[in-house]
Amino acid sequence: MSVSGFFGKAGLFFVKAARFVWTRFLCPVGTFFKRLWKHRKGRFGLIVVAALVFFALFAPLLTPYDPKTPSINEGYLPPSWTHLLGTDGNGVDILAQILYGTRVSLIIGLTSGLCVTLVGAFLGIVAGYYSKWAGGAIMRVVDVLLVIPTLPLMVILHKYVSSSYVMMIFIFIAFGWPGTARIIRAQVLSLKNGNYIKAAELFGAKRNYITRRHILPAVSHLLIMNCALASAGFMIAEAGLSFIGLGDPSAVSWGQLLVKAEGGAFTSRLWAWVLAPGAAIFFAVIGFMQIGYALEELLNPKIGGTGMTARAWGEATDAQIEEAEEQMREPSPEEAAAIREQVRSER
Amino acid sequence: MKLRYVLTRIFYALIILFVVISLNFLLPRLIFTDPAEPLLRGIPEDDLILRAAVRAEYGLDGSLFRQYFVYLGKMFTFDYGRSYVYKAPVFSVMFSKIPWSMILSLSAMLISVITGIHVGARAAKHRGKRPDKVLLGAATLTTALPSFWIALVFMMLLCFAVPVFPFRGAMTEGYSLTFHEWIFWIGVLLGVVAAGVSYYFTKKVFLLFVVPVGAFVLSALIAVPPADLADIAYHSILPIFVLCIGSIVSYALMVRNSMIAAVNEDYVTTARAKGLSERQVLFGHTLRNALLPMVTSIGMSMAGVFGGSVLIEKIFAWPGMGGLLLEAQNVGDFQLAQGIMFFYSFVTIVCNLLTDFVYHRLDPRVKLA
Amino acid sequence: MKRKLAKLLIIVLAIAVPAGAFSACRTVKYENTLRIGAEALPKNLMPYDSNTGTSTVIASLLYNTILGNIGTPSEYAEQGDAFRFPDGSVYTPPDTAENPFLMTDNLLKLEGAYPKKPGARFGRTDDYTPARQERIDLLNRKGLSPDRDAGETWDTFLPTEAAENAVPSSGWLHYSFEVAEGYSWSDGTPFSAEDVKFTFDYILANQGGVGAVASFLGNYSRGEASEDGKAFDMYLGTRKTSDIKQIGTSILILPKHIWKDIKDPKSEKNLNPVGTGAYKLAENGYSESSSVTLQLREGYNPGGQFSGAPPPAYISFVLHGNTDIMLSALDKGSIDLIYENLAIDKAMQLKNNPKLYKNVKLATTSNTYTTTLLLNVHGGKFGDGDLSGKGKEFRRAVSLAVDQNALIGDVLYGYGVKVSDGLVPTGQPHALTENGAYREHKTDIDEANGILDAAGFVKSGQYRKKPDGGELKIEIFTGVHNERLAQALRTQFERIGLNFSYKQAGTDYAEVVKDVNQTKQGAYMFDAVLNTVTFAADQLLMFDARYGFYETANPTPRLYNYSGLDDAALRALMRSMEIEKDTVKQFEKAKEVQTYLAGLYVEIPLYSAKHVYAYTERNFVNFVPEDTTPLFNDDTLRYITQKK
Repeated sequence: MSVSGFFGKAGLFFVKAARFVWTRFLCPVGTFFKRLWKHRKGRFGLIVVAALVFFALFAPLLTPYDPKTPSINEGYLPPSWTHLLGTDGNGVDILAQILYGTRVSLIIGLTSGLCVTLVGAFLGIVAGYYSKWAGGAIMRVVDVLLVIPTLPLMVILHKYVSSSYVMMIFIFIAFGWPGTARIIRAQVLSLKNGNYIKAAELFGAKRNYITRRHILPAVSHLLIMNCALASAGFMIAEAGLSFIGLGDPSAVSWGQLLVKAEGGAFTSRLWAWVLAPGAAIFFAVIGFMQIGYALEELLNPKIGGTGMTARAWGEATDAQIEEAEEQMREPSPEEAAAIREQVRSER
Repeated sequence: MKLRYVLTRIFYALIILFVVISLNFLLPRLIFTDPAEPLLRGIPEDDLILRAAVRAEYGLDGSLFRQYFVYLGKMFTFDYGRSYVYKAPVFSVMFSKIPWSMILSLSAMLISVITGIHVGARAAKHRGKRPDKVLLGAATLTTALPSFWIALVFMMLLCFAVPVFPFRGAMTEGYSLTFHEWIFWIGVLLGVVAAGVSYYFTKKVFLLFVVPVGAFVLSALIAVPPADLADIAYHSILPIFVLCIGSIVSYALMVRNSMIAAVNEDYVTTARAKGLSERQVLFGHTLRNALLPMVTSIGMSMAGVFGGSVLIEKIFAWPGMGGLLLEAQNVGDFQLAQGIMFFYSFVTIVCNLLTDFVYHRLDPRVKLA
Repeated sequence: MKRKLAKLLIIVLAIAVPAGAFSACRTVKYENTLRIGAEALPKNLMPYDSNTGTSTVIASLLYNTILGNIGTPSEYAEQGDAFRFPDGSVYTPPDTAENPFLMTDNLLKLEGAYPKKPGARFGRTDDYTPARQERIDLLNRKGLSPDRDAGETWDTFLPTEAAENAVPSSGWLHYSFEVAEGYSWSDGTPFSAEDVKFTFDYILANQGGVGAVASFLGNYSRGEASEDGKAFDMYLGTRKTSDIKQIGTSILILPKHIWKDIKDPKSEKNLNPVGTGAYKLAENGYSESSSVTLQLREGYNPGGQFSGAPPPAYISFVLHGNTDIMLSALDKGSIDLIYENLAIDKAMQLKNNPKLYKNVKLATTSNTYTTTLLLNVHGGKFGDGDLSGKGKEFRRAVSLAVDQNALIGDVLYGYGVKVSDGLVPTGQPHALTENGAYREHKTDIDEANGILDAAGFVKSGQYRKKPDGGELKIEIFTGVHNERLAQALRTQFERIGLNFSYKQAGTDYAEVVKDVNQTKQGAYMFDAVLNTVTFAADQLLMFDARYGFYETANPTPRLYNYSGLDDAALRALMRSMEIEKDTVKQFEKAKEVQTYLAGLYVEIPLYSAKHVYAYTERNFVNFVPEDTTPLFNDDTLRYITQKK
């Protein structure tokens, strides 16, 4: 093969790979976001999450203050033009703390949410579709884990093992996956008896293949929603645990702001100190939840969605979506009357 | 309800309990190489006699199997060890704090169940209109806002900005609770007798449950002098209110969703065809079926009733089980924290079991899986 | 729905209004009560349970010790001076030659414990050598005593004057006391010397259950009470005068008739305490996790301590959630002072916003802690071996770079005092030199840079390197609360081109500091650590806590010896200071020790933080802060009176 030939072949390969990635991944993802954007709730959620990520990444550019250097002479200041939300007891600007705190909350929430969903989905599918024996064992473990109280456990571990957010994430994942697993398993059990799966099995399809081609797409909407809601839940949980004192007191997070607020804000009548972290948590959680709800409304066949899998939804053209929505829509009373007439006349 | 079902579930619950006890046993041994370390922290290293005595007292001497059996024995005799801060058995310390937690959580549960049902039914009846929208808006607010944050805001509003309510404790500081024990026990005894007598005459089973509980509560109220009662009530208004907010919304939402789903069922059409009034249809038929998921929810939160809400109790400095847990953490009282953990698990297991039974009784369609 | 809402509203109002009314009707339980806010209350009333700060002060109000400290605001009032108390009474400190302990009578009287003849001095015997002293100490530690019947003495100290001096205590090993009049137990039983003997024996027999005071009795040999209970004889095993101080002022005496039946002090809560103190527990005074109320014993004033206006009839310690709530309560007058000291940021908030709490006043006291930077010469980067023999120069340069004024300003916001190189804060007479000047810590950046340059620590880039060319990076080990201090130090050391980083330790911090206090084979694991040194304001105890040694049955020294002398030599140096009875001479020796240790530049003093306390004068006045104590204790109590 000549040099030019080699380059030609390499070039062709790259072009093919690029086209593959474009059509199979980027386009669907792009249309996915576009469709989400059109949906009202989805748009709101996307804006909020994008804002959060923006704050987390560009916090140093947005505020001149450092959230860790104290200067007590400026402590307990009310909101003013120099400190938009005022300062806390150590003189640290509250707005700066909120912006930097986005990082911790996002990281903890997203990491825990993603891992919980992955682990829960994996174990749920195994329990529902693969061997009965393994499934039984997994469900017993789920039962035991659901009974163990996480709060006293965290109290014990916090005191005697170094306290940090890594430990917190670990506990969240270890005690969060049973919830997801249960949901996924229930769904998988109901899917298992579907005709198309039985047909595929009769044709000799291996279990892994069926999981990949049929089951996963069918539960994907559950997974995405679970991920969104779980992340939101873990954000609130992190705030709560920091508030009790089980977090890392030297870290900057919304929960830590509230801890200090409990001591200092009341008698100083500094409302911003208490309201700001609450508002931050509120918007973050709402953002994630709206995305989750939006996806559910769009994908869950039972409440008027298109009944398509997430992947198909991303890949389909607009016309196909219109047609599917048309089919799933409940008829208005006039239409219902018309259809009834038609059926009666056909008899 | 089949006996076999009952026995299977109880057996299963016992197994889970057993596993949890074992985990509790293994926990300190997994964290530390020498689990006696936190107990021996205050004792100088050359005082070998004392160290050996402490080890023996906490059952940390001997082989692992021997320790395990001793530990199991202690669990069954409710010997959870000794709190080194309170200088009393962990069991009695916990039991003295549970009534305080129950004051808050039981009242909150009662109020929120009743109010939640009303609000949810109303929202379902006027679906899409104002009541429904208000409920859905409130639902978004309460799920997105942490409960302790709502508590903080209300505390700032009602305790500091406009000083209406007290902000700490269960009683005015400097006063302690007077409790006349013998009045209390006489009242409970009378209640049990009354239950038996009334059952004998009316043969209604629910009397056997309701009358003793009612007598329990009444005699507790009588055994405490009215000034103390008023004091506790005054201090508990704000915590109960804060606890209710979240619960009311979640129960109402549950009821509303179930009723909306139920309205489309066939039996509702039948009932309407029979000529029943809308009110009877709503409250007689749909509500009863809508209550099922609520029963599960109430059952699951019973563990919280005994254990108390840690966050609320911290904010309002309420002397309940939640506060006890935080204190154990601050002081480093390992035995206490372990005892509380076991207690929470135990209560959760028992409540799950009872919820299963009740749910199965109410809805026989549920499979025995 | 409106009907239902109205019903609900009526129910709520029906509960809230009478409840509020009932609560408001609650009258104050005790009149003339000094109410003290505390963030933690003890769970029991055991006298030696030091779980929380308030338990110590409660115990000191309920129980007494056999001897008392002089309760003057200044321990070092010059002889002959008179000090006037706020209530008008006058105190004249005793003659230190007469009474070298500077202690007063309390439960027991000191008569007979020290020579009666004024002007007597003590000196060493002719055959004294440090080696002989060592051998005698060893014998004493093993519990042996000389065969006095055969005339054997192990005295190395003898009065130089004639033997007419009544010295019942032979070489300070034997003390005899008389029971002072007027003391009785709060249940009416009269106090006797039997109780003292019982207490000491009980503590030694129940070491795990009654706290750490057993170590104070380490050199207690035995005690005997006379038949009628009016006299007590005590024998010690060594001649450390600090021993009698510890025993005399730190051990609370327990009633024999009650405690002889308590077999298991670990599980004892002692909720009906019986003591000889001025206060007893009020009826229903112990409300767990809510408050502890003490009541003044009527007509009981044996030591004459309440000579002026009467003290508060009741003292109540009330539990509050946090500082903010306590400040709010203080402002309203529902408590009179806060027991714990305020955090610096709270103190600054109050200072900067005087209108926030109009009725809250602040008092500053110094305390007995000095914060230091301890450099590890046993294994870290500072030992001579690692820095090519230039360790001492390096340490001196590090010491010169520390600017104490800047630290106090930046880290403590002015609430601190400077500390001399001998680790004694300014204001303490220990730090005086002959001509009255303080031996201040010297800060000189240029000199530091010069020393480092001369010693071969060449700068390459921003930081210096070791003389052998290796990279020089020092890690300071610090706890969570010292982060600001570590940052400030790092900035200061950068001015001489040194790269100091700091590592925040969580749970292992305590382990490291414990490491500092134990000798182990092999190197310690830190380069430098932020340490706290406790020094005692009492001259006779002043250096016991830090670079002295506790001589227990175990002969190896328990503290960290960085002096460069071997253990025996350092021990001898400390001893000669500790057993010196003449306080003037003791100052001399203390200065010698300080100068020697300061010249090693191993423990560099940073500052001694001050404490700020909040109180209000709405109900009680005359809160007199003493140095080195919390604002409220059984000494300052005597000045507090009700506002007219």
